[in-house]
Amino acid sequence: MEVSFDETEEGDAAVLVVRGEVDLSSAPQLRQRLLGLATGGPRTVVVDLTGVSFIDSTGLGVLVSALKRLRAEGGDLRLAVDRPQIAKVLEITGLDTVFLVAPTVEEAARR
Amino acid sequence: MRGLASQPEPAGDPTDRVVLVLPPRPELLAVARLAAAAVASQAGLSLEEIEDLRLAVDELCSRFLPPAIAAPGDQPGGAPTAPPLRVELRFAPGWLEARCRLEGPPGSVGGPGSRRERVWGGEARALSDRILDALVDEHGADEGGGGAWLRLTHRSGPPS
Repeated sequence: MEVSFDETEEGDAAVLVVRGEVDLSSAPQLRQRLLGLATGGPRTVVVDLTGVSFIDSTGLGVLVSALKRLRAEGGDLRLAVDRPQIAKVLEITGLDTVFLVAPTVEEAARR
Repeated sequence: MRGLASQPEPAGDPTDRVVLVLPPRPELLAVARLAAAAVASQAGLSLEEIEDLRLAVDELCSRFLPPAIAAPGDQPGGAPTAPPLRVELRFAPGWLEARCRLEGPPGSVGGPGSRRERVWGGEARALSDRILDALVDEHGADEGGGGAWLRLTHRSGPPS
């Protein structure tokens, strides 16, 4: 399954909408998109994973790298997650305590 | 990694086996996931277990595959060529074992985690270990049968 991306805004936050499956094959595309959003000063980026049906450790590693980069510059990376399987992966890796995770983009951007 | 000797195989020989030999391309990981889900379904596992095993088999196979981008230290001209990836899935009611390895000679380019960790760093490997620890009963490395295998087993019910 292919992965696709859209970029939008929610308040002051940049939103990266991801759809499809994020694995070793598609993680480089996710990394490039996040690199593009992480430049240009401190900002909040919300990654919308509500359309993602699968994510593995490579995809999670990309999100962690982007989080570190953004926080080092005074920004943040937040996740919108509503699928139980994606929430479970975040929970078992402990990343649910590292990222701000909300069920919708609006909530993630507002907090 | 969890020990591999503590969980006995199901009684009798679980002779149902599916073997995949895949070109070592990241975009073909989806094929291994699809096969894992189909075999887990045939083993009578629950929907949640099927999803778990899709992810676990992806994690196992990913360790052998070269990422689709250059790693620090790669020679000019792109990533080195890796041999085909062999994935074996054995199953019986309520039980599944997945094994994978590269079909090339031991020590060939692209062994478990080599380029992957140069590209993504140790973070992805640590996350992968946590995922496997949580989702399957056992996982680890075996020697023999043509080189180093990575293996996982899952028995129906919560991981022990």
